[in-house]
Amino acid sequence: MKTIMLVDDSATILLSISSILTKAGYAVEKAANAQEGLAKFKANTKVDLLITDLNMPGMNGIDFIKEVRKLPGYKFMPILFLTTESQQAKRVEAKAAGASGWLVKPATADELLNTIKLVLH
Amino acid sequence: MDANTKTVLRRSSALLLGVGVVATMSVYFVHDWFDSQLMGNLGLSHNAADTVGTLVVILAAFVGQRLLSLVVFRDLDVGAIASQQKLQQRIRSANDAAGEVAGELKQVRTFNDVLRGQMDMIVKETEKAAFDIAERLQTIDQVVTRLGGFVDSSTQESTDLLTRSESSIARNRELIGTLDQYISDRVNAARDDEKSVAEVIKEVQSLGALVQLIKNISSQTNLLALNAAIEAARAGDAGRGFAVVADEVRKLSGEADTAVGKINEGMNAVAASIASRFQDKLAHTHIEREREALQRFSSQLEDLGQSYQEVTRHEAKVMATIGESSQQLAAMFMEALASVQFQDVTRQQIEQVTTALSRLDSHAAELADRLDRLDDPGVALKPLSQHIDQLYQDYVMSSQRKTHQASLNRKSVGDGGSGPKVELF
Repeated sequence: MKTIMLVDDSATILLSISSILTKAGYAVEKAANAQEGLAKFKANTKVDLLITDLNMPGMNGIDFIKEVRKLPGYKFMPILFLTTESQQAKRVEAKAAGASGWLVKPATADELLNTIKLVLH
Repeated sequence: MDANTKTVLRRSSALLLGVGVVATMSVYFVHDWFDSQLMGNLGLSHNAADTVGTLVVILAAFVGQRLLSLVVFRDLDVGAIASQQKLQQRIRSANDAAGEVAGELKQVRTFNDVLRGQMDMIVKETEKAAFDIAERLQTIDQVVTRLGGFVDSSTQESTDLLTRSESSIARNRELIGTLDQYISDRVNAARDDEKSVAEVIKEVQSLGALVQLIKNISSQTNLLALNAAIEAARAGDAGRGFAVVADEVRKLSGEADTAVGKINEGMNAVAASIASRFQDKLAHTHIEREREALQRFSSQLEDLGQSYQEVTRHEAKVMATIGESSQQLAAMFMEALASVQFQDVTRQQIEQVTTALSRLDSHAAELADRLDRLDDPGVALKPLSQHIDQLYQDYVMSSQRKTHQASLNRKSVGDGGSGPKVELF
């Protein structure tokens, strides 16, 4: 079973998206902010895909994935942004930081699951 | 230049022009007379007379201008004095108003605190509501999942039942076939029995001819014995022994005749008994009734089997429909869960409004400071346009930028370019 880490400062997003992922047959690791997510990565948590928000208090999503990419074992892990932002400039920035894809909130369950399938298989 | 200054200038120019014209005409027409009078009567030189004349003209022009201003404008200085008084009054009023506005502007933060509190409450309540919705959807999904499991197992059971019922019906059909064959065999056997019995009866009845033959032999024997007795009587004593034999033969003949009659009766009785005993057994109506009963039974069994199959198929159909609905429910549940993301979108929009209110606080505080220190040119004031631009820079979604531009009646071109909803790099 593939494991997906979900990082978002919204408890509602964590609950709703993790429910969708669990129902689709994925194991889910949740983190309420970038620091918490980073701590899990540093603890060598098995993660096959990272889905993160962009605008979070403390550390934003782009800085977060830059830190994740520095960690051994996560250099090639796919990373998706799930955010309200749709600006092209931010996407370019995210891509340069190592992101694999971009989904604009609110994403439908089909959009989310199809994108996950594409980046995981 | 304000309107009052313009008015004063216009009036002054008009007055100056009028006074100038009068002074010029006065000098033109009165100059010679004035010169001769002053030089003649007072003994002044020509230059001194012109100097005095000039002073008189200037003085007269000044006084005339003032008098004319007073008459025309009810003000010695073409309305400038009244205007200045009015201006001073306005400045005092403006200072008072500035003080009041500054005081009110200092209260904007308090007002915005209330608004922020309300919006924070909205964010918390919508977040809680959205969280509850997500939790309830999860619960619904668990029920739907259980229902799906039940449907799956029930569908399997229905399939098994259908298979079993089909094999049971096949066995019933086989049994009915066997029974039908049995009935046919029985019919054939009965027909064979009927033939056999008929043959037996015929055989028995054919024995009657033999009995008749024996009876004829017995009758002829009796006749011979009677002739022998007659001949023995005619022979006298020599035939006495023969007469005894003839008599015995005649008796035997009589007994044989009696025996043959009994045999004939016995055979007829046996034939009648066989016919009577096998009459029921050989009757075809019984077999036909059995066959009809068996066909009815077969038909009912077939109907029962078909009804059972229909029930099983219907059940399978119901289960399939429930299964499809269950899958649709699962998909709807997923989409409903996904739609809960609206709360996060709304939360971020409200947070932007809260941030904008903080900017408004700062701006209001700067305005209040500016009003408090009207005479201090060093008071820094960040223009509201800069705050609006900064607000635009802080937006986190395309819809905010579009709304911003639409509110300012601008074309929505400054978004930096929005990409597709889903994009893989």
